[in-house]
Amino acid sequence: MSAQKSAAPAAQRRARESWGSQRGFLMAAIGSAIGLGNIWRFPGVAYENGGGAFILPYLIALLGIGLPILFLDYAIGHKFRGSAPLALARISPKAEVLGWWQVMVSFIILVYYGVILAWAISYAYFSITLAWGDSPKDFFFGEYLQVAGVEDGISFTPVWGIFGPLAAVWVTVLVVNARGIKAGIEAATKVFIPLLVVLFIIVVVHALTLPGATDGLNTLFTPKWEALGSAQVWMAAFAQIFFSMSIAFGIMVTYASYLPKRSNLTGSGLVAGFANSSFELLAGIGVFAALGFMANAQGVAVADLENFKGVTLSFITFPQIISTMPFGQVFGVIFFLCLFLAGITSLMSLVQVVAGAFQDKFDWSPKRASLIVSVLAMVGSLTIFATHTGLQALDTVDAFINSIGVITAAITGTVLVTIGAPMLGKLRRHLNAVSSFKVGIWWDYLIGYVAPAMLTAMFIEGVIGYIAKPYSDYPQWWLAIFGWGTVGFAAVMAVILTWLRWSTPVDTAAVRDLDNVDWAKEVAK
Amino acid sequence: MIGQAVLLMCFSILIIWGGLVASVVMLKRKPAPYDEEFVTDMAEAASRE
Repeated sequence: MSAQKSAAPAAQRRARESWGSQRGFLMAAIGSAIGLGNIWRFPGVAYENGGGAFILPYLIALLGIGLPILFLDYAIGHKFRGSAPLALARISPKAEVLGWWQVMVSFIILVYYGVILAWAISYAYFSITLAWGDSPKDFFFGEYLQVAGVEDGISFTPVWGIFGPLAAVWVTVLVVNARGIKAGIEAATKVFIPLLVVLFIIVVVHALTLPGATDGLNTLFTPKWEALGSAQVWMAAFAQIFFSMSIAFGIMVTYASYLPKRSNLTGSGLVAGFANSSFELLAGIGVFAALGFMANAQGVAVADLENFKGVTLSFITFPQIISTMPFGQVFGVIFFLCLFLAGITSLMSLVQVVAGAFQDKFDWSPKRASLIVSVLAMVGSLTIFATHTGLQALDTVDAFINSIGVITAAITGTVLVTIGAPMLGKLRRHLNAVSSFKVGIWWDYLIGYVAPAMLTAMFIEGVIGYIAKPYSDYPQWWLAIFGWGTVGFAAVMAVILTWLRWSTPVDTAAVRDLDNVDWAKEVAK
Repeated sequence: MIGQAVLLMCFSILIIWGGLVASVVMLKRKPAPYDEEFVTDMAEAASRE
């Protein structure tokens, strides 16, 4: 396909950017993995799916598909040295469309993801005066988001309280990403991630000192062993790992493509994977300690509380907790700053997936690619999500693009390297050639059989759910636009972008394997 | 805290945070090597060409 139809065969590809150090790459990879889901999704999922017993399926999911798919992403990005479309085009020209599908999925996620960061900035500010008063729920939906029902149609009227912070988020991301891999993303994550960890530890330690904190921990960790017999619990564990690690939709392929040849891929992957899970566990402890305090203050059991997950946990339950705890204002500012830091490093990685792909295909400079991608995303963000129906749009797009877009990207990716263009052995040898932790033949089976089987089960469950019952009882026209329509838009754009000509040759021969390494020199080292 | 909850919390911390510490130590101890056997094979293959 288009991979072979280079417009300018004589043109040279720009020299590829690279990370300044392994630590810089690790910080960026960890920053991408640690996101909002670690803070607001994991604690609730663990509690609802067996409590302490959830750790068993969670660990099996981490070792069984999380880390193996992460290694696969690293291997593809490092071996074929390109963003998702370029790397996959180098595997097989027909696979380029899958790369663009991953890019489009990332683009759609980044368009709505920024809005939540805008909320977090606003709430860090609101924490100073406890602006939500006695009713955080009414404040969030009414005063802040100014939510209107979708029955009246799609709103394009801006909510200025969201518009301003959202524009600020995009300017920040634009400035960081335009500076490139080393001076931009690496430099920013080297500051943001340690800062996030320190601030979040302060949040957790304070939460643990509150009365009732142990009730919260009891609720989270008391095992319900019978839950292990439920397929739903195992699916939840695999889904949690899959969605929290930023795997299989181009991020890690893109990031690994900027690594130097001599890079410890699996060693870095283990650190990134365990760091992500460690932060989730920390978040679980902090969130449930705080919930225990709230239950204690209200004289109810933790299990009787509502809103354990997602937007409502962060923007309704936590404001309630902040209002009642000692040093609540300080706690609130730090908590929402943590949400912002966790989210912005993930947002930067999503922008890089898209910008990197355009850099590769059209030979754009990092600055130009980041500028165009960020401006496009900002316009989409402000137009659709900073409005009176922005919350419902976000909810719908998020559900469909994750359970259909991300999962199909992962399924097709694993099937591609197993059946379409079989190369698991080659990729494994590549990993083992450059890494300290050696993967065995078991990795081939996990990628070739276990991961596609689990992902297909998740995909079927999601799609059947959406077909059987309208998602969140939204009207069909709404779901046709923001649900299925978003998925369709991503698919059409992936095909169009695949058909556009490459500005520079895809030059597969030059990058295959480690062919361009001077092996005699390597032996002599 | 309930005994079982304490045990499960400690187990989770040990495995996950322990895994992180172990992987960091492993990363630091073994500076990104090329697999010597692989490198030698490739060098021999290159010299044959």
